[in-house]
Amino acid sequence: MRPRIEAVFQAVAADLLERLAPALSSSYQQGTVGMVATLLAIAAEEWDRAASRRIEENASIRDLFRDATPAIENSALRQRLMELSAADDRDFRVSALEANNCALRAALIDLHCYVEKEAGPDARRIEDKIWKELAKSTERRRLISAPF
Amino acid sequence: MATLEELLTDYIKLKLPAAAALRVDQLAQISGGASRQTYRFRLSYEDRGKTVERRLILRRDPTNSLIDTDRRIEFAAYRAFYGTGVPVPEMLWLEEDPAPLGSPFFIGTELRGLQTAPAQMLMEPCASHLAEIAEQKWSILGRIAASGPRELGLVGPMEWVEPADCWKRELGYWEGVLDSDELIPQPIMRAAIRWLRYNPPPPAQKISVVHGDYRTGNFLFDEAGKIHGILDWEMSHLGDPLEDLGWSLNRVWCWAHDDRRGGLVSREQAIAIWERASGLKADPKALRWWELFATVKGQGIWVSSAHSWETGSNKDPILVLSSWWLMNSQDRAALELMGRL
Repeated sequence: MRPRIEAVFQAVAADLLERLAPALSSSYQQGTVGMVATLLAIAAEEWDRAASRRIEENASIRDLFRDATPAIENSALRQRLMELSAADDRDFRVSALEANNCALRAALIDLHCYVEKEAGPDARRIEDKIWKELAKSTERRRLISAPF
Repeated sequence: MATLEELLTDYIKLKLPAAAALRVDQLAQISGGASRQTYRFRLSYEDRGKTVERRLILRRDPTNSLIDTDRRIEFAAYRAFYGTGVPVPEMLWLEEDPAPLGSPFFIGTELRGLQTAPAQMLMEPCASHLAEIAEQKWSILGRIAASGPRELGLVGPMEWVEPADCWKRELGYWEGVLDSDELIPQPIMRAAIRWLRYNPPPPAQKISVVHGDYRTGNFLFDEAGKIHGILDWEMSHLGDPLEDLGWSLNRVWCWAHDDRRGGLVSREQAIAIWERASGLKADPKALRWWELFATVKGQGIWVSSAHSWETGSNKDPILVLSSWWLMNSQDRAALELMGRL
């Protein structure tokens, strides 16, 4: 689609904020239009990266699971991690990538719980990798306008 | 079908039976937090030959709110602090019967000509007064912490909690919100919750009224930087006074996009003001616990707002905005506090 979707969203957001909102007489309506403009600006920022950040994150979590699996003694968790890490993203619609991401992050929570309770260098190494992955996950989701 | 102005007129006539020529006009919805619909209006009437005109605020429950709260508690908190060193608008009537206006509501006085928006605060002429605003903001919070809930008559309207149980009750509640409302897994928040459970804070040094949402954006200020009213008491409860301090320091309120808390002053300056005003100590380890808890509570609110939008009939864009805009910042704030960012 041309013009590019993110460019359209950004332009409409700017128009709403700079031209339409000031023309409204009600402060409540101005506030609502301002919120809609901000939503469009966020959607514009997210649009282009939506698929790529999920593909990158899903691959990163699968790598982490492959690395962790040999150290997991709990057979049910080990089996689950093996299955998830053997899968792949084949449907590149954002909704499909998001569903895979949710399954991976739910398993990541269980792995995190498990290694926190385990002693030994393998558990600490995996735990450290999980924290690094979680920090990266927030970098992937950062918004220009967000307060932190 | 009667208009809201007409319904309000009928209701207030019952409250002021001696008033003659009673009239409600200039009704307009305003932004007033996400949990209730807020309107301003003018009330005029004749009282013993004198014309009385009052500017009032109506806070009415929506069908689906960002925060599920008890309006009785909010009303009681406003009433308890009115006329004390904690500035709040005067409350007039609480109505829990949905019949008069379609849903429960309360009415109070409007503090006129003032702002709440952080963006306005960061622009001139207010921007020259940020240090004074900070001094008032955390001093008032210190006064809330120093006040006695029994003396304020709030033990009863608000549920009592033992000093050792404050953290368990609050953490349990907000973990429950995440359990019921999260639409996507929250690995950072789940890790934060585990840390909070493994490392509980000491018992509260006293039981205070906790405002529950004390932050820049929830007080009314003028152009000279004077704070005239603390608003949005809908999450107020009894608990550890460090809970409010931790919430006020939350990174998601860094409106100036730098390290200044609430867009005002450094974390250390804010804590020093609060300690001076409250006469209490902000034990560093305990405060760290409450700051991390604030990230869980914040995420609970953003998660439930997204859940409300997706599953409820309320399609207010603020439910989406708070979720889209703040969830990742909240995760980053938790990571920073756990030394993992």
